Amino acid sequence: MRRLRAMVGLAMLAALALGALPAHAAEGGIHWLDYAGAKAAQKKQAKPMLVYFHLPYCYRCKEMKNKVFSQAAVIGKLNAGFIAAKVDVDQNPATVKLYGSDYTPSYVFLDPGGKQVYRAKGVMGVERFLGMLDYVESRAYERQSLDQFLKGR
Amino acid sequence: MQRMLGVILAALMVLAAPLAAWATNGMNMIGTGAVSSGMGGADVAVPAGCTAIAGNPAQLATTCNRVVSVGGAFLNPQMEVTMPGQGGVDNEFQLFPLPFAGYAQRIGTSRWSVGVGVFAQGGMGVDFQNVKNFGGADDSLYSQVAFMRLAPTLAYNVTDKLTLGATVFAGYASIDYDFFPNGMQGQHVTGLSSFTIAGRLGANYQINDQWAVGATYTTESSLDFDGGEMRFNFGPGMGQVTYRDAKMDAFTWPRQVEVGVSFKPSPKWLLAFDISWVNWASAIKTVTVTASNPGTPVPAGYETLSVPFIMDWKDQLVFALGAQYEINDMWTVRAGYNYGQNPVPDNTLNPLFPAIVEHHLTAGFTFTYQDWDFDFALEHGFTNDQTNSGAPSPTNPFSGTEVSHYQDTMHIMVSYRF
Repeated sequence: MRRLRAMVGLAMLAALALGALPAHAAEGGIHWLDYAGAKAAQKKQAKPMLVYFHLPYCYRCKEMKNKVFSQAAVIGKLNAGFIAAKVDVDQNPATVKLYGSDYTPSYVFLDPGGKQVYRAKGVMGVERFLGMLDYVESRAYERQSLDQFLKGR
Repeated sequence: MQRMLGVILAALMVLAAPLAAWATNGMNMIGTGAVSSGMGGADVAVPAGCTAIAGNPAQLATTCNRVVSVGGAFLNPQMEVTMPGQGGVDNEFQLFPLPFAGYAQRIGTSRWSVGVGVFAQGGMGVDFQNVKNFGGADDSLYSQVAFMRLAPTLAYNVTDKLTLGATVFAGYASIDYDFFPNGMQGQHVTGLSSFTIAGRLGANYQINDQWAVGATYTTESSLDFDGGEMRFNFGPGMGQVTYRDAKMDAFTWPRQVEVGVSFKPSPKWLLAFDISWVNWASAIKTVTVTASNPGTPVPAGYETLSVPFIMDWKDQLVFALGAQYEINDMWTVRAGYNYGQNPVPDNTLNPLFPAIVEHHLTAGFTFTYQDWDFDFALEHGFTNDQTNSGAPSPTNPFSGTEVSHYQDTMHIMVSYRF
């Protein structure tokens, strides 16, 4: 009986813990917002923003989805330290024009104040992507290139 | 940039046209580009860049931005012909360059992608010197069949799973051959050429993140060779007479159906398998060379010569199996196996046109640096021996002749995404 109570208690605790987590974590993925939503969120949170330009039928975007955006380390890092905006370049011409970025996949980073500070494109591996997030988060772009930053780590 | 690409493509088409190719799925290359070739030609359900122009055009829809690819292959065939009562004769050293150049891009941010490329579709050739002719004198057997294609391609993403593509093949083919030119009834034929149009439709369906299936259908390319010249050896007396108009009929590049499947058991692994049916039986039957307009007077009845080559090739099934593994962000390795049934019947084997290799092993890699891909592959076609088992006759002069053939091919390609 005591064991049963303990199990019920643990289950309730687990349910509470899950309920306390943001919805995106429960879904097991990156908390992607649309561009307008991300801009609004950035006004409330002093976090850098990743604007990810993609197309649903772009093979290299699918590669990023399967190889990088599915990795726990990437999901954790992006959700904790960044506001992540996902922009379908076909559906959002104004945003594409604003950043001059119709290349897919490509990445534009804004500092917490909304200023564009770094951009990259193409498929990359988990290590380089995480390094790029560190690079932006630590503001290393103010003093060195991404490659220099990665070599110095 | 676009102007420069146009100039490069036009120049490559002109430069590549006279080059011979030796290919071994019949007369087709087993794959186009170092990536496809590294996987044994298993590419129908595999995403591709520019090389989709020569493969499954639906794969061009995977072009995310703009990509230009330049490269090709160097092919070294090793052959031996043994005629009845003679020792074996090796072919002369040959190294055939087989170029590829292509450009592809997505049209704006739309679902459409477009591309154009020029590439060696295939061909064959031999160069046997110091082989005894039917009169027992030193002579030669030489052939060079080359087929280049210029291919504008369009592809469309119907959904994020289904892609369709279409290619128009504008082809240019050329043939030269020597059939014991020093002997009685020997022939030296040069300058036969033909333009042709064909098309290919392709589809690819991504079932889920792991599985994809694809298919292509290629129409027949009807080739009407003309513009050539034949020097015909009438033997002692009349000697050699040059006929200034030579043409060749009934030599056709076949229609083809391919189906393929790819499977990604993990993000780093990709496996692919294709089956192709090549309709050589409709394409290569009795090829006839007709020569007219002799340069010197000839007896009545010899104003026009007709030389039939009874070939009667068989339809061919091709099986291609490939694997790819991404070691890290920069290095990807590949291996493949390709088996294509020999389409040449035993009773019509002709050492001028012996497309008989069946088994191939391939290996390759890609080195990726930023927006550049450097692809490399090696392909080995294993030795196949075949003997003409047909009864000797005027239309089967090579009865009892044995041909042995293997070959090695090196593929290289550089691609730049922008």
